[in-house]
Amino acid sequence: MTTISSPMMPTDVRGGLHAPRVPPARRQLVSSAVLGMLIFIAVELMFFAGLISAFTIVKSSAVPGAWPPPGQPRLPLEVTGVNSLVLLASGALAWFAWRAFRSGAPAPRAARLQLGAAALGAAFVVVQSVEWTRLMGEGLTMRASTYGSFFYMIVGAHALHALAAIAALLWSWRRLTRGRLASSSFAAVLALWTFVVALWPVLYVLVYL
Amino acid sequence: MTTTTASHHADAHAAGHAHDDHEQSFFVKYLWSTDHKVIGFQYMITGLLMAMIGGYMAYGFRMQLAWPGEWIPGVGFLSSQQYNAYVTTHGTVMIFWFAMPVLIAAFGNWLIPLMIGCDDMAFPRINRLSYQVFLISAVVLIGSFFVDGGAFGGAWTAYPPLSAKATMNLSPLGSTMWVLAVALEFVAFLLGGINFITTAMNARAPGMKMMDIPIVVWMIVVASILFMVSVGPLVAGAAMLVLDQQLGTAFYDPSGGGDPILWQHLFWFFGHPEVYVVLLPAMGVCAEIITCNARKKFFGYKTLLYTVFATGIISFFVWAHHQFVAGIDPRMANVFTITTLIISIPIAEMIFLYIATLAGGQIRLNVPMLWALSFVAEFLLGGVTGIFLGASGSDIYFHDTYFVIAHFHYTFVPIAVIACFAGFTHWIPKMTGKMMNETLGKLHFWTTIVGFNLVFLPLFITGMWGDHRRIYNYDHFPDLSTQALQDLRIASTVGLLIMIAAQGFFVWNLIWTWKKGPAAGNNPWQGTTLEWSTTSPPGHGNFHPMPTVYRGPYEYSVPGAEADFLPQSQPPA
Amino acid sequence: MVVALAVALVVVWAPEALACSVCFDANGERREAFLATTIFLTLTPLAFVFAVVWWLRRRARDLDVIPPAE
Repeated sequence: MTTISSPMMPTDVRGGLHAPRVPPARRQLVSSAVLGMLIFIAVELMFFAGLISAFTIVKSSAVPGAWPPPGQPRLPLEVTGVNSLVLLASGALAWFAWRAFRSGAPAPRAARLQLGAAALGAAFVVVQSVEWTRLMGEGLTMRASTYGSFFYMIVGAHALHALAAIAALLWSWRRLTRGRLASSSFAAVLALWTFVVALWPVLYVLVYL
Repeated sequence: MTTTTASHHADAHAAGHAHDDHEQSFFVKYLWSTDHKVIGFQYMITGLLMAMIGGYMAYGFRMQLAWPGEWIPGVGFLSSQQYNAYVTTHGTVMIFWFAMPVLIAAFGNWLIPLMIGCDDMAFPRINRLSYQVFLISAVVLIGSFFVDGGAFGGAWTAYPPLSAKATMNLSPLGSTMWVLAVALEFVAFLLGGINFITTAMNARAPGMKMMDIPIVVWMIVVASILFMVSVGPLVAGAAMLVLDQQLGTAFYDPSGGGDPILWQHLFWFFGHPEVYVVLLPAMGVCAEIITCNARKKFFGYKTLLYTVFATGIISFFVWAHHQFVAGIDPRMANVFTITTLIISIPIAEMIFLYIATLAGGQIRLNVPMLWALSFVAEFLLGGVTGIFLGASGSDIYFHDTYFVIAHFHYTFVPIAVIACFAGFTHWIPKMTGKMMNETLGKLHFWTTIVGFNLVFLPLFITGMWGDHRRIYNYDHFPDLSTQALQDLRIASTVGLLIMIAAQGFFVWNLIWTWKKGPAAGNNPWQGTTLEWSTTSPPGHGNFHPMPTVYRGPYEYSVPGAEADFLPQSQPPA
Repeated sequence: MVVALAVALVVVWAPEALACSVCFDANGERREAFLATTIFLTLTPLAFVFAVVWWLRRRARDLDVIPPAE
C-alpha cells in the first residue's frame, strides 16, 4: 500500500525490512463456493424485497375494509403456523449437521441429521401444497383477486426456492454418505437453506397475519 | 482435461500444470469452451452483432422520422406498429445485448483473470452456462420479430398497462417473449457476475493486495455488485408482468386492484443502478488506457476507489428521478432531486482524476487513447445535461422530449460505443496477437465522433423546442412539423448515416488485422498490469509460470527506473 | 446540521407542489407505502453488502493470514 500513496517513489518499498520476502499464497477469506452463494442470496433477497414492496403497495391502495377481500377464503393461520415450526426445526437440524460435520463426528451422524433436515423441509412443502389445493378449491385463485395473486406469487416463489434448496440438501447428503462432501460446499448449501428458512417467518407475518 | 480443466483450483492448477493443448474439435474449442478468453470473445462478437441489429433499428426509425411515410432503402415502408417495435428493440438491444455483454461480460472475461494473474474464472462451467443462456436470450428476443403480432412495441421500459394487456400492445406473444428474453439475459449476467466477484476476491496472484488491483477490475466488480443487488426487484416485477400478460392476473391493472406505478417502482429501482453498472466498467477501461498512454501513475488511485464506492452507494438513492411526473409523492421527488444532483459530484471527481492523470504526462495519441479521451469529453456533455433532468422542476418541462433522448445518448453512446472501441482497440493486440491499423483506426474514430455529435446535438435543440418523443409521424402534429424542426431531424438522421458508414472502417480494419496485422508482441503499449507480461494471445492457463505481484498497477515513469514502466510482476531490484 | 434542516424543510413544504395535475392520489396510505418501500428497497441491498463486507473484514482480522485490506 505504501507504493500507491507515495507519488514519485521507487517502488521496492513494499515488504519494507522483510525483503526479500516470500510471496504469500493466494488468499481466500472465504471459499469461492460460499462467496458465490452469498452473492446469489443477495439477489434472492432483493427478489423477495421486490415482491414484499409490491405487496405492501397494492395492499395499501386497497379500499379500507377490502383487504383481505370479503368474498375470499381466509388463509389457514394455525396449520401454517405449525408448519412454520417444522421448517424452523429443519433449519436447526441442518445447523446441527454442520456442527457434527465440523467437530469431526462420524460421517453417518452428520448425514442422518442432514437427511432429517431435508425430510422436514419436504414435509413443509407437502403441507403447503395440500393447503394450496384446498384454498384453490374454495375459490382463492390467482385470478380471483390481487390478494390471491400475491399469496400464490410470494408463497409460491418461496416454495420454489425451498424445493431447489431441498434438492441441494439431498445432494449434500449423498456426498456426505460417500464422505466426499467438501466443507465449502456444505457451507454453501447451509447458507442457502438458512436463507430459505429465515425468510419464511417474514413472509408468514406479512402475508398471513 | 479438455474442457473441465480450469475447474481446478488456480493454485493446484498452476503447481501441477502440464501442457495439455492437444487438439480439440471446433465445437469444443469455440462453442463449448470454459476458457475465459474464448467466452470473452463470444460475448464480444455477439455483442457487436447485436449492436448491428440495434443500429439497423435506429436506421429504420430515424429515416422514418426524417422523411415520414417514405420508402426506406433496406427496410421498406415502416408501419406505426413496426416503428414502435423498432424503437423498443433498439433500446433493449443496445442496453442489454450490447452495452452489458461488451462492457461487463466481454471485458470482464478477458481482463479479470489476466489482470489479477490467474488461469481462469472461479467457476468456469458456470461461466460457460452464462454465455449459453445469454445466447438463448438473444435468440428469443430476435425471434419475437417473427411471431404472430410481431415484436413488442411498448418502449424498453415496458410500462404497464400498455405492456400488460395484449389488447393494447397488440403483440400477445412478442411482449411475453420480450420479458422472457430480458429475464434470461439477467440470469446470464447473474451467473457472470457471481464469477467476476468471486474470481477477483479469491483468485488474485500472490502478492496482489486489494490496492494493487487494476482500476478496471475494481470497476467491473463494483458494477457486478450493483447489478446483483438491484436486479432482484425487476425480476420479481417481470414475473408479475408475465403473469399479467398470460394468466390474466391484475398486478398492474387498477381495475382489478393492482397498481401500474408499481412497475415503475420496481423497474427503476434496477434501471438507475443499471446506468452505473455499465458506466463504471467504461470508466475503468478509459482509466487504464489514459494512464497507460499518459505514461504516468494514475492520479489518486485510492481517491478513485472511494469515489467509485460512493457512486455505488448513492446510485441506490437516485432511481425515483425517473418518476417525477408519475404522480409520486413530492417529498420523494424533492429528496431524489437532491440525491440526483449529489451523484454528479463523484462522477465529476472521477473526470477530474482523469484530467489530473493527463496533466504533465507524455501523452501518446494512439487510437485507444483517442477513444478514451473522447469518452471523457462526450460523457461530460451527457452528464452536464443530466442536471436539468435531475432537477424535478425542469424535468416536468423536459420530460418525454427529445432532450431526454439526447441526454441519454450522450451518456450511453460514450459508454457503450466509445468505451467499447477504446477497450477493443487497446486489448485486441493482447487477445489476438495482432496490431490493428492506426490509419484506419483514426479514420473510424473521427467519422464516428463527427457522426455521433451530428445525431444528438440537434436533438437537444428540438427537445428544448418541445419536440415530443414516441411520435411516429410528425406530419399529424402541425406545431411539431415546422420546417425548422424537420431540418434538425434530417440533420440528425444524416449524422446517423455517417455514424453507420463509419463502422465500415472498423470492419475493414478488422479484416486488415486478420489478414496482415503485424505481430503485437507481448507488450505493445508498454503497459504495467499483469496481462501484458504473458504472451499475445495468452496460451492455455494464461501464465507460465504463474506471476507474483510486487508493486502497484501503474508504475509509469518511475524516477531511477531503467524503462519508463515497471510491470507489476517485476521483482524489486 | 444545516443540511439536515434544509432537507427536512424541503420535505415538509413539498406536498404543495404535486407535480402531476391529472394523476392525483386520494389515498394517502398508498403514498406512505411508496415512501416506505422506497426506503426499504434502497436500504436492504446496502445493509446486505455492508454486512458481508464487515464480516469479511472481521474474518480477515481473525484469520490474520494477511494484512488488513488497506
